Amino acid sequence: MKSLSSIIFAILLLSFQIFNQPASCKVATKRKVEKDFQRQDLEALALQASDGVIHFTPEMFDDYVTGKRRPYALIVFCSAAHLLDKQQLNLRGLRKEFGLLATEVRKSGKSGVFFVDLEFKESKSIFHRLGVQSLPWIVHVNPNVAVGADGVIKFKQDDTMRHDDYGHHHWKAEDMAAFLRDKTGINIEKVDRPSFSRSGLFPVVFLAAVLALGAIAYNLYYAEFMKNLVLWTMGVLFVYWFSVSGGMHNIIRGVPLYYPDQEGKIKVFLPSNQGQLGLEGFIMGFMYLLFGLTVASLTFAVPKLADPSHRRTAAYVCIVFAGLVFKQIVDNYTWKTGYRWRIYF
Amino acid sequence: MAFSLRLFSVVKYESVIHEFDPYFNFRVTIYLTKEGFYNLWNWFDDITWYPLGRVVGGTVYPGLIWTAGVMFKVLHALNVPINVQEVCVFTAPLFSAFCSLAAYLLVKEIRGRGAGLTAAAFMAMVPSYISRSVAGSFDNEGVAIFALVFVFFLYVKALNTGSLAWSSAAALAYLYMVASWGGYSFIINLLPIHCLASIFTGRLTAKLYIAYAPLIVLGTLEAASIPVVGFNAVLMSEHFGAFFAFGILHAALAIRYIKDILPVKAYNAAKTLVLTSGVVLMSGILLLVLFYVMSSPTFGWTGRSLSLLDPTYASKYIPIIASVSEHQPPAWPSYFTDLQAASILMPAGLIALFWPLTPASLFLILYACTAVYFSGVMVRLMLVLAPAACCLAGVALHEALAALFKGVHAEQREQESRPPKEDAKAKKPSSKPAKASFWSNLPGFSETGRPIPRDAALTRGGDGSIHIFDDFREGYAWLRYNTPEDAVVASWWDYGYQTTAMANRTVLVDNNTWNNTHIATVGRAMASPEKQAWEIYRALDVTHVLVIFGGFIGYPSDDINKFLWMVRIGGGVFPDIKEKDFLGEGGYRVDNKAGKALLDCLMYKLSYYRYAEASLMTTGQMGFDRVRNVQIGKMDVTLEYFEEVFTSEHWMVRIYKVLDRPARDIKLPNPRSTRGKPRKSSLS
Repeated sequence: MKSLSSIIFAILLLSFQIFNQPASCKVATKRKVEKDFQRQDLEALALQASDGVIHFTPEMFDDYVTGKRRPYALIVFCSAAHLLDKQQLNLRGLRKEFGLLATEVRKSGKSGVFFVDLEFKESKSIFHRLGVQSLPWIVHVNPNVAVGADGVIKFKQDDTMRHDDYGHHHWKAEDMAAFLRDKTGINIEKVDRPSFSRSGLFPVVFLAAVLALGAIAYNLYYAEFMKNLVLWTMGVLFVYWFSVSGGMHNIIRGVPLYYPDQEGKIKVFLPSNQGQLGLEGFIMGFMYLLFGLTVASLTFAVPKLADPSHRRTAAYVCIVFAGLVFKQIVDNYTWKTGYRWRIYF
Repeated sequence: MAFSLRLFSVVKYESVIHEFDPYFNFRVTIYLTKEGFYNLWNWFDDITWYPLGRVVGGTVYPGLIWTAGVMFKVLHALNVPINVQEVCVFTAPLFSAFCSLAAYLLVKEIRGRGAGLTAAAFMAMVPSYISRSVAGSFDNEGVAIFALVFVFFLYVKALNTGSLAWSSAAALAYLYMVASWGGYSFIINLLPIHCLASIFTGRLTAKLYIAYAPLIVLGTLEAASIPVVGFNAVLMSEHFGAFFAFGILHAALAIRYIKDILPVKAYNAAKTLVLTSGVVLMSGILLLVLFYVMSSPTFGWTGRSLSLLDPTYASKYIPIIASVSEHQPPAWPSYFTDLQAASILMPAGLIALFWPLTPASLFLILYACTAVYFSGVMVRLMLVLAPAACCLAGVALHEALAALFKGVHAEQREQESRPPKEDAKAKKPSSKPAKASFWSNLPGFSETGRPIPRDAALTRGGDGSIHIFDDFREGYAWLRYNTPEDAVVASWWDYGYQTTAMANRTVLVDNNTWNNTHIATVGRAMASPEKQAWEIYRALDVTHVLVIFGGFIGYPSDDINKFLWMVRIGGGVFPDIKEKDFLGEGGYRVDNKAGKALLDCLMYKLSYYRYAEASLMTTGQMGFDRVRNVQIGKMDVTLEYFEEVFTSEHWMVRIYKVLDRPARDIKLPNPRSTRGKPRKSSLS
C-alpha cells in the first residue's frame, strides 16, 4: 500500500513537472529574447563608439550586466577622469591601447565580447562592487558569472588584469589581446596601429620635411647668430647638465620629480643609493655645473678685471664659493652613497 | 702611477682573473698560445652553447687576445718563462699606462704640454677606467680605451699636421680598435660628426680631408676584414653616417673648387643648378635608403645602438639587454663615483676649449658632448666618457693653474712696486680647491673604484678582519674533479664563461648572449615545475645544474634575485611563462605571499632545498633568507628528479645532479637532514 502511494506521488510529481515545463521554458525564452535584444543594443552601441569601446553609466551596467548569465562576455576597463593626467598610471595611454584592441576585434567580426569602460566618479558604487582597489584595472565579466542587483561581484583571481600583474602597467594592446585570448578564446594575432608612416602620403610629406629642413639649415648656415660661440657653449653645457643630472634616468624610469611623504612634506632627495628623484638629479646636476662655472670664471673672467684689488677679491670669492659648492657636493654624495671621503695630505 | 695603482687587487687577492668575461678571454688566450694565431680563426668551441657550439674565431673581438698572445710569445722568445695567466692579469694595467700616455699626447696636440700632463694624471686614476683595467680584469675594455684615445690622438695629429703618415697611422690604430671592442662604432660615428661640424662651421681645410677621408676608406676596409664585424661595416646603419659625411666632404670640396675657377655670376648660377639637382638626387637616395631600412624590423640598427637613440627601446623590447646591470641609466652619484673630480671640472674644460676654437678643440668638445649624452643612457658608456672627462678636466685644471700663477710670474719678471710677497700670498690659496679635488681622486677610488672579484667575495668581520669567501672557486674545482669530462652543466648564462674556463665542463649558455632562444630555454627550465624542467634538461643532455644562492651569507647577486629576468627572457620566447604568475602580493617576493609558480619552480627548489634547517643554525629562524630578509614561503622542499651533490662552504654554489629517472621514494628521510634526528643535548 505504501509503495502504491509512493508510485502515485511520483507520477503526480512527474506530471506536474511536465505541465510546469512549458511555463518555465516560456520565461527562459522570454529572457533569452530580452538578452538577445540587449546584445543587439550593445552591438549597435559598439558600432557607434569611435573605437568600439562602449562607455557604461551605472544604469547601463545594471541593464546589461545584472543577471545570472549573459550571451556575451564583457571586458571592462576601469578608469578615472581625475587621474587621467597622472603620468605614473598612464591611464590615457592604456585606454588608447584598449581602444585599439576593441577596434581590432570589431574589425575581425568576432562577436560575443564587448569592450566597456567605466568612470570612477560616475560609477563609484560599481567600482566598489567590482572590488577595484587600484587603477589600472581591467576585468573580464564571464558570461556565466552571476551578477546580483547589488553586493560585491565575485570574480576569479585571474579574471582581472591588475596594477601589478605584469610588474609594470605599460600594457600594450598586445598584452590585452593575450588576456582576451586566455579568457575568451578570441585570438587577435596582430594589433594594427594607425601609423602615418604606412600611408601613401608619407613619402611626399617626408620629402617635404627633408626639403624644409634643408632650407632651414641653409638659412641657418648663413645666419649671424649661428657663429655666436656663447650660444654653442650654452648648448654644450646644457647637454652636460642634463646628462649628469641623470635626465635620461628620469625619462627611462619615469621617476617623479618629487614625492610627498607621510606628513605631506615634499621630499626631493631619495635616501637610497639606487636611483634618484627627478628634482634631486637636476639640483645636483646644477651644482656640478656651478662648480665648473666657478672654476671657469676664476680662469677667464677674473683675470680680465683691471683693478688688481678687485681682481684679488673676486678670486677669493670664487675660491671660497667653489670650495663651498664642492663641500656640498661631497656631503650630499656621502649622504647618498655612504662612501666616505678622505683627503690624504 | 697608472700601472701601480692597478696592482692593489693582486696584493689583496693574489694574481687571479676576476669577473666573468675575462675568463672566456683567458681561455681563448690559452688556446691561442697553444695552437697559434692562425688556428684561432677556425676554432670551433664545442664545450659551450651545448649542443650548438660556438665558432669562436668568427664571433670574438680578437684584439685583446692577440695582444696578450703577442706579449706571451715575445716574452718567451726572450726566455722569460712567464705563465699565460700572469700575462693576462697584467695586460690591462700595462695598457692603462699606455692610455695615460695617449691622453697626454691627445691633449698636448689640442692644448699644449701642461694640459696634457694634467689630463694624463686624471686619466691615470679615473675610477671608471680603473675598475675595468685593474690587474686581473682581462677584458676588452682594458685595451680598447687605450686604442680609442690613441685613434683620437692620431686623428687630431693628422688634423693638425695634415700629414698622410699620421692619417694612415690613425687608420691602423682604428684597425686595432675594431679588433678590440664593439665600441668602435662610437669612433665611426664621432668622426663624421666632427667632419660635418667642421664643414658647416667653415673649417673645411685640406688637412681635414687628409685626416678624415683615408681613415674612413681604410678603416672600413679593415673593419670588414675582422670576421666579427665583416660586412656589417657597410651594411649596418651605424656606419652610414661615416659614408654620408664622406660624400658631403667631397661635395663641399668640389663646390669650393668650382667657386675658385668660375666667375661670381656663373658660380651663383651653377650653385642654384647643383643645389636643385642635388636635392632631387639626395631625396631619391634617401627614399631608397628609407625603404631598405624600413623593411627590417629594427630599421637596420643593432639593438644596442637603438637603445642609445631611443633610451626606452631596450626596456620595452629586449629584456636580455635591459637585464644587464651595466646597461642601466645612471643617476647623479654615478658620475661622481666614476669620474670623481673630473666630472665637476668638465664644464670649465668645455668653456676653455671654446676660446680659442680650433678644429682639434672642436673635436674634443664634440667627443665630450656625445659621450656625456650616451653615458646618461647606459652606465657602461661612462667608460667612453672617462677619457673625455679626463682630458677636459686636465684642460680646466691647467688653465686655472696657469691663470693663477701667471700673476706670480708677471710680478717676478716685471718687478712692480707692490711687494711680491703680498701678491704671492693672495694667489697661493687659490689653487687649493682645484688641488684638493685633484688629489681627492686618490681616496675615492680606493673606496669605490676597484671591483670586488666575483669569484671571491669579501666581507669584513666584526673585529675588522677580512673574510674571503672562496665559494665560487670551490664549486668550480668540485665540478672539475668530481664530474665526468663530458658532463653538461646548466646554469644561468652569467656563470657560463667561468664554468668553461675554471671547471672545463660543457655549458648550455654563456655570457656571449648570441642566441636568445637558447638562453630562454634555460630560463624556461628554471622557471618550470621540477618535472618539466627535468624533461627539458634531459632533452639537452644536461647532467648537472648549478645555482648560485646567497641567502645563507647575504650575497645579493644570486640567482633568486636574477630570477625575474630568467622569467622575462624565457617568457619572451615561450609565452607559457608569464611573469605575473611569479609575482606575489605587491611584487616579487619569496615569503609565503609569493606567487604560486615561484614556489613550485625549479630555481626556487634548488635554491632552498634543505635550507630551512640550515638557516635555523645560523640565523636561529627556520628558513630565514638573509638577502631578502624574509622567511621563505615553502620550508619543506623535496626533490624528485634532481639530487644534491655539492654545496659549498657558505652555500653560495649549489650543484645538483640530474637523475636518470625520478627518485623512487622522496619521502624517505634525507640522510643529510638534521630534522627528525635525535638532538644531542647536554642533558642526555
